[in-house]
Amino acid sequence: MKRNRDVRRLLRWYPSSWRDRYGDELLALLEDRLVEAPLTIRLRSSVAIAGLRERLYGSGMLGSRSSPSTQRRTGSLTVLVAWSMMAVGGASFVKMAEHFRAALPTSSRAVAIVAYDTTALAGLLGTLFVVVGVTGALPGFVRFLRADKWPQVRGMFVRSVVSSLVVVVATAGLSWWAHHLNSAQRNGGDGVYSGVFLAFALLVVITIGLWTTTGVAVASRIDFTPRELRRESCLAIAVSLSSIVVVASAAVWGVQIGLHAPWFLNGTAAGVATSPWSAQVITTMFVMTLALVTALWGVVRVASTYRPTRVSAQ
Amino acid sequence: MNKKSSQLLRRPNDPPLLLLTSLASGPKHGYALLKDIEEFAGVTLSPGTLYGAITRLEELGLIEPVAEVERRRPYRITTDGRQVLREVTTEMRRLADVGVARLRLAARGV
Repeated sequence: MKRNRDVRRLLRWYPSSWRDRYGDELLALLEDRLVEAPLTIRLRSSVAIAGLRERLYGSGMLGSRSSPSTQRRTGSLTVLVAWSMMAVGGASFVKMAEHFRAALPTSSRAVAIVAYDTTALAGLLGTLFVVVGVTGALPGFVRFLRADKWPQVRGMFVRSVVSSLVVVVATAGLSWWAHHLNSAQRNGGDGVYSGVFLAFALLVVITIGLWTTTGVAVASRIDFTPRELRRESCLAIAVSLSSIVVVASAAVWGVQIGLHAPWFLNGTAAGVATSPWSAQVITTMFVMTLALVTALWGVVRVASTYRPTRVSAQ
Repeated sequence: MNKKSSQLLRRPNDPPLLLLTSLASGPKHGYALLKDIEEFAGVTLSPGTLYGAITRLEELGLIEPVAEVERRRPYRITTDGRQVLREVTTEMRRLADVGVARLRLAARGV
């Protein structure tokens, strides 16, 4: 009985439309398989991966089964999710780069400053494109509200608002606390403060994630006009270009600091010969790169719908 | 063969190609397909992979379901599916023939 329940539970990895069509058959096949072999972790994970793949196919993230408009919408939303990740990586980058000018010798400061300013400018531009995209989706959002679809996303919206309010209160409390600490205590000298700051950063990441999820849930339920969708697709491409500039210029900045002041990245005393690879550097690089790859994937999905179809001569 | 079909059936061990080959000898349900593919190709497909291939091939109209028997639904190859399978296997045979011919030439030292 327990094994049958486990097998049924595995089907939850698949989208409901797929389960309605193939669920019983797959269940029967798994039961046939289980007569001769146990339900191993390998079998479970292969079914789970196949289920996730079907979800990606169904949402238009993979394959060419979905209509071009679904692929454009999914591609654009993927770029939005990527930009949220980039915002998290970017915030970590800004924190890491605080006061970097003072750490560099005057002769090698120029390149790092230009790289940092380019990162900041590309970040601002990307955010501006996202804001324009959200504004452009407002007419569709009004149609969404008029179609009485709001109850479908109300729970997500309320969670995002509550999380944002907690962030506001936490920001005020943390700022008040920080004003009573000196620079050394704020930068790792006070263990309790550091722990609370990490928890605060995690809360901010969760809040960004909640808003992104809400945005994606709303946007995937809006009936965009072809013109709106084309505009959102163009903005998604612009956001992805911003992501490329952000990552490239941040990399140039990192190389400059790594060459001339590696101790700055590692948080050790000034002038000490050390490796520039700290946990924060690695995490920030990972998040930014993941965001870039995700954005590029979204753009590929959008661009593939505009590719002209070749007509065979035969 | 259209572009979508050619993307699915590029390599000899691509699950959709194995599945079409198996169905060429008659309709089969999921478990029978797994066993047949294991037997003729030595490839053990996971149930998830098999049903992923079934989904794609059915969408392309290369296979179709037949009447269900005790929750087990057999599938059969369609006319389009036979045509695609013929084209793919002909191309594979042509490549194999080229490979064999060149190996023979190399063995003769030409």
